[in-house]
Amino acid sequence: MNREELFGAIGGIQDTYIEEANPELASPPIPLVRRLRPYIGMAAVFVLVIGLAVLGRNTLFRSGSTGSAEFSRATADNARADTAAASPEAAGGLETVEETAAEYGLYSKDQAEGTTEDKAQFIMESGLLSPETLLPITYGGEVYAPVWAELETEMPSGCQQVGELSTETDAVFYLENASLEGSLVYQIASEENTLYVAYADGWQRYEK
Amino acid sequence: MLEDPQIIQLYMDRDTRAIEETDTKYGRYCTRIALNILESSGDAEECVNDTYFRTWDSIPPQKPDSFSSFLGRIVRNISLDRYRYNHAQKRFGKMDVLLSELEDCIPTGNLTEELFEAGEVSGIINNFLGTLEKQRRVIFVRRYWYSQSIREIARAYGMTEGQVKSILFRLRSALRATLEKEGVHL
Repeated sequence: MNREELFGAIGGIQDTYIEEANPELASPPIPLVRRLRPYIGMAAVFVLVIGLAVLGRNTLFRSGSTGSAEFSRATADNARADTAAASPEAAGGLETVEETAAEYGLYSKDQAEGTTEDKAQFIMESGLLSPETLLPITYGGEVYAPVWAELETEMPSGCQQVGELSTETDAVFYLENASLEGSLVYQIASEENTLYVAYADGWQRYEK
Repeated sequence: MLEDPQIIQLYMDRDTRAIEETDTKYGRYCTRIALNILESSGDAEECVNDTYFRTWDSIPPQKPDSFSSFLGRIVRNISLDRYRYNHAQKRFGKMDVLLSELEDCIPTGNLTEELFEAGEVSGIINNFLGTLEKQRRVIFVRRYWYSQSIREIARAYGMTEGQVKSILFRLRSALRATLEKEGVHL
């Protein structure tokens, strides 16, 4: 059986299915608001990120403009930050900035710099990750499709970490988002065609 | 505009106004199906005209219950034949993309000889469609029967194209599993 034969076979479906899908008889076009709904979430996240960036920048400027002593202190902080960027051992000067970001409730320092699960949790909360948005992934040159069941809440028995997803070596297809980069990949030794990707609230099963 | 039974009666009476009335009521519908497959207005127009003549030759003896589906099937088959003719040497265009998607549904291994009968496969697909919730079934039929583009489907349902692709991927996987279950031992 080839694809054209399958296309032909689909041509033989019953009339009721053809009629109910008839685009000419479809209900009026979806209202603009509903049509834009999928984009509203993305726009909100975008505005939030830009807003926090502006707020963070303003906070730094404010602390540097209230007087020459504070300005000097801020300048010294900035110098420490520059030093820290060049030399991670001397990272003490960055603490103030990171704690300020956490106070705004976006995410904590641990979440920003923490484990893959923390990052995935942040993605989940932002509404970007759901079974509806998961697409197949490519790992080790092979395509794996998600299996549409509940996430495994316990690590499947016999699972061992075998690597992580990388956008450089493994194309990660993830709806409008490539944030699966760095997600840990697990496998059961006896199941070569199956792998699990760790998310915040469980393990998603993929099959080759 | 005449009702479908009245148009069919014109065919039964061998009244040539049947074709005019068919064109008035279903010309746009047939053209859209042909255009979805062929992407050429000239080819689509010819296929629609051929559809009218084949309908003229078919009624009588046939007397369809659903005239729109009857016409849709004819124009779809004629357009597919034209597509094959046009693309005998090389593959390109959105129809080829659609057919490539359908390859996901084809079970590996061999179907038994009986299942090569398109009617039996159609029956399996009918049963499969019957298990789906309405919106997903309509999305499947619009894509693989009406050959609508993913963008058009997404616009009709207020979804992103990615969401439609995701739904179609899941449907193809499910159809493949159904076909395997019915006829293939991997």
